[in-house]
Amino acid sequence: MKKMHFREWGIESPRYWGLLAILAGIMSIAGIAWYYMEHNGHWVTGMNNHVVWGTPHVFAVFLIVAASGALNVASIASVFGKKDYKPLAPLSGLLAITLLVAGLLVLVLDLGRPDRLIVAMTHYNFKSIFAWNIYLYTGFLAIVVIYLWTMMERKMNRFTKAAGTFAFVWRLALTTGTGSIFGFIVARQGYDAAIYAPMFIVMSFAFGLAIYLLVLMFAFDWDKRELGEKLFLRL
Amino acid sequence: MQYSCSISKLALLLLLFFVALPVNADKNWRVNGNSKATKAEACVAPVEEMRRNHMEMIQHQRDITVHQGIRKTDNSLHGCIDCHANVDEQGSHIPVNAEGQFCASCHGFVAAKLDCFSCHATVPK
Amino acid sequence: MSDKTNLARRNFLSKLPAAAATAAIAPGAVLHSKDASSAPRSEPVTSKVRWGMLVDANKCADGCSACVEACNKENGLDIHTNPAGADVDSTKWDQQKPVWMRSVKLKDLQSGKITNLPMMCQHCEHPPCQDVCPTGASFRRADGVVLVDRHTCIGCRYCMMACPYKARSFIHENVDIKPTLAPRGKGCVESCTFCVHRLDNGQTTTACQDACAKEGHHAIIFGDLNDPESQVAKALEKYPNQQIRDDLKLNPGVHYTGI
Repeated sequence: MKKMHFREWGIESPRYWGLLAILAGIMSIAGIAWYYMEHNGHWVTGMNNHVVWGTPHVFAVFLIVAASGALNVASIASVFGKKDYKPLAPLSGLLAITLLVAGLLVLVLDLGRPDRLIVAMTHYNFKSIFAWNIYLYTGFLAIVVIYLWTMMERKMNRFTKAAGTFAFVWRLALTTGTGSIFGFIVARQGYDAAIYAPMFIVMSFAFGLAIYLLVLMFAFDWDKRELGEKLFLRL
Repeated sequence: MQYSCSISKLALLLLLFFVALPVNADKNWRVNGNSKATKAEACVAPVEEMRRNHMEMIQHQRDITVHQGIRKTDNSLHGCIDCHANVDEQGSHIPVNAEGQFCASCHGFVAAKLDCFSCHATVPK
Repeated sequence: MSDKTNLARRNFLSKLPAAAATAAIAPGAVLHSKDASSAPRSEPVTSKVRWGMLVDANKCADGCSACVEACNKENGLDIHTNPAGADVDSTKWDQQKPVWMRSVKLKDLQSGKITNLPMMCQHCEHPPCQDVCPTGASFRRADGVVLVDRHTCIGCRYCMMACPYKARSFIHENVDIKPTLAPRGKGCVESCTFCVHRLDNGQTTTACQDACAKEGHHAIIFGDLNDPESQVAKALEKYPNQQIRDDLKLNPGVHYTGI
């Protein structure tokens, strides 16, 4: 592998636009559901004062944890020096950004007052892990964008290792922060444990890699390309 | 060409004017209201200052009230509502943010959405 | 240049006695405003006062819910209704409606003794809800009352997860009637405020305390924990008491006796 070539996803136009249309349809259903909840109030979700967090949070946390894990494949290439994985890295970065944005979107739209997001961005209580997480998440987005840039712009390739290492360390902090949301809760015995941070890191390895592999297989399958067994099995 | 352009502009202006009028135009509460404010000499500050700064005054005061417990103040939201709410024929207060009432008469025009009354009472106690 | 420095020092020294005099009088000024009754507060709250409560579970009568009803009436919770279009299934509404105070019934399995515990926000000295709030909306006021600044609350419900006493409620629905002294809106979190609207206007009792006294049980005593002459401080000295979940070392302002 001397040089990376970037080209379009090799599927016919109708299929591509059809796939986008299906995804847009799913998103509009989600949008309508959110509007219904926002207009009527959270009572329509079935969450109550005893079941405080429900399905949105399960999915949001899953997506955020998977996002940090999806970056792993890129880290294998840039940080740990396994050059064979380099072509897989840009997809990994892109997937990480996508999953994080999706998770954050679910979380923000579930807030009781999402119109106060500006308040959340300007008033911080740094004793709260949530406040740290706001910075960890947005910082992660910025860092992965820069990381992608170093990978895809040939002149910047020499910075890939630095950016990759920084992104790797940041994503460990991010996953620890996400785990700490639960680990710091003294009130509920099921949660109050230091194991939550490492547990979330381990889960991110599993979820992120799984989603990455599924997306990769899907993309290659539609493109009618062979996915090499050697690299694949080692993941 | 020029002539038709200016007529269409005039038509547009007239349309905007009528759209901006309150729907319940039978009583102009702003001019002919019966709230305490219409009979009062002045507000807690001169009118120009109130128009420009009332949002900052209310915001500043709310932080003081919530965090320091200070309730004795000229700038309380309840004080505003107490004075500016009109009374209808049956003797009950009209919500101060209803269409044509005190808050809406300006806030509707400037299209600035009010968030206060999603939580706060709109009539004096 | 030397002139400026000298003047600055002289000005500072001349202000010192005035500052010292103010500092000497200030505590007296605070005490004075504390004594004034039925007057809206005009000075900021200080930590000279710490509001607290003693609940005597022995005196809490089985089947009585006067405190809960009084709290609901005082804070507009009784007029807060099931949203239009919701199920008439009342268990769902019971779990979604805001509850500031509830009476928990405990039964000792060995002896069969039934204890009734009125539970509300414990107004901890180190509230977990304050620690976890991302915007700082959940806070502890200087005089010990733990409140939610609902202007800043974004409705994330982290404080509800963090509260060991499950004291907080989220408003899941649009609010039709908003009481003047207890504003409430969809999407924010709230809990017992120790009737802060009363305290800020010069009164020193809470609605639950008054209702319990009216029923003749006198199980709830509220007052200033820092004032050794107050009814609650004297009662705490007299009766063996404990705080619920004191293993968490939160130092709540609500003490219980008889459990």
